[in-house]
Amino acid sequence: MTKKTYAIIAILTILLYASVILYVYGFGVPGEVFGYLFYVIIIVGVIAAVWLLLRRPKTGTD
Amino acid sequence: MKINSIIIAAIAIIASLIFLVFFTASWEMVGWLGLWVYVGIMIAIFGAWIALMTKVGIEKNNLKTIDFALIAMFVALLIVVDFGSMFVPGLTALWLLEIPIAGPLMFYFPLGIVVAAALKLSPKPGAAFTLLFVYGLISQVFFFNPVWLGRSIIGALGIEAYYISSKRGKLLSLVLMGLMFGIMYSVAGLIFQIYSWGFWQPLLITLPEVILDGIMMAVGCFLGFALGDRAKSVMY
Repeated sequence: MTKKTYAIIAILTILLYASVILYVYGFGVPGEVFGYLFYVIIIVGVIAAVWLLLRRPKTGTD
Repeated sequence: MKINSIIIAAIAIIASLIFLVFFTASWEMVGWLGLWVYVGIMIAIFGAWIALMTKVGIEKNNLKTIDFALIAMFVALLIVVDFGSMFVPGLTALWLLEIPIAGPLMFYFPLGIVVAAALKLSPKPGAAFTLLFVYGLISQVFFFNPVWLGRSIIGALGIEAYYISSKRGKLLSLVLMGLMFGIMYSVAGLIFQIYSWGFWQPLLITLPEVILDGIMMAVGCFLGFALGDRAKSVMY
């Protein structure tokens, strides 16, 4: 496992929690709007993460 | 598929269904003591099974940093699953239907995908318990009610008891896990709903619901296995 893998996992985790927190508490805006917005961000994040993982050089055994 | 995993799955399903029938009929008579006896019996069954399996011998394969990192991410995904309408706003209307299809579609199906993908990526003893227990703890932040921790412990011990007895990371074992866990967790949820929310439902609704929950979670596990398999080939 490289540091990049850990970084991607950490970013995804933070993104997911951020989406839930914004969805639940809404900060004065209807929660579903934030939920929807962050759902799109999550999809983009997941695609980006998979793309980053796929283009990782296949060297090293960590 | 190992015979041990089929036995514990059968025990979990039959015990859950018996408790569902019992609490539907006589929850008022047994009161809160009945709930704690139920929690105690389920914990005793799964705890004894885990102790037995440990005596028989499980491979030594401790969780590593990457496993904890993956579990943390999948717990976050499980929390997202809790808010089903985040996926498709407006779908919450399904909860208003008399036919109970919202739970199986909006919770147990995605739950199966996430749990199976997580356990495919990290097929080690302890991973299933950690995943479900941490999920139970984090859920308290969003839905604070310590009584429901009993359900989290039943779920975490139940899935671990099954997972250490099964061929970890194999398709069939994950699908059976989905069926078992879907029914067991759903029944626990229904029983806790009666006590903490006073939300009693007749067997005509709850029995088809729990079976549908199990089936949809098994289908979710099927998809989760494929996702986890693909992710594993990319990551490792």
